[in-house]
Amino acid sequence: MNGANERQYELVYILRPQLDEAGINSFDARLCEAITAQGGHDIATELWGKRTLAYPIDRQYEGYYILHRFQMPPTGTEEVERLLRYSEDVMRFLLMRRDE
Amino acid sequence: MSEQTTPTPEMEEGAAPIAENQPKFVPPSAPPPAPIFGDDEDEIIDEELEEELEEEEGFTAPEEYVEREGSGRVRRIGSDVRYEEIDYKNIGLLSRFLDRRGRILSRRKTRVSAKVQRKIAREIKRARQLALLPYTADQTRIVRKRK
Repeated sequence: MNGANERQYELVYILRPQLDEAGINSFDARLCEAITAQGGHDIATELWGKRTLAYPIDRQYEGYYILHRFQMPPTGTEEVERLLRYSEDVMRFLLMRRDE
Repeated sequence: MSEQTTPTPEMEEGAAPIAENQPKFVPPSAPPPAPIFGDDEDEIIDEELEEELEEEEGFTAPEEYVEREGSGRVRRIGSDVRYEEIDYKNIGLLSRFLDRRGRILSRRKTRVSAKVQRKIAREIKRARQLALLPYTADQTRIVRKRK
């Protein structure tokens, strides 16, 4: 089932700066759950913390950056992106293949 | 001549916002940002930058293609760039390939290989999506209006 049919993904997303620690953690847990539900595994996390944006997004000048690297079959991207897109706390996200 | 010495305070002002935005984030995987070449020289010519750039866009004098070391503004900005370290997270490196208004420098200016230039452009665009780099300088600092 897995193996050749999996890809290495890299995901960065920006959360609204108003979110408190608990909010960030709970959203991130929800996201990791979704990734796992889609067959993803080996999730590595990098917290970049609060960063000043290069330009304002939704009148916000800061954002909370989180990066994940994981293995997942390509069918899972749809669901993961859907979750990110429909979460109001996510200002931006970028999901990329990092194979090669 | 006196005009060139007076802008000193203002050129620091112009350089500050970029510097402020960057050092906060250095991903552990990213190498330390390499030194930026000829930065102060670029600052000094800031006032005429817009005009100059517009001229250069369609300008094809043969000597522009000749690599001039030390003098002149034509030099290889990316001579020490390795392909693998071009990454949207490595904004210290990518910002060397932006002009002061946040535009991606042309290959004529960067003088890197086509492959490297493509990657640079691609990663800069990714960084812009994530608000790591500006789309335009107007967004981060006040650019003097020219009429």
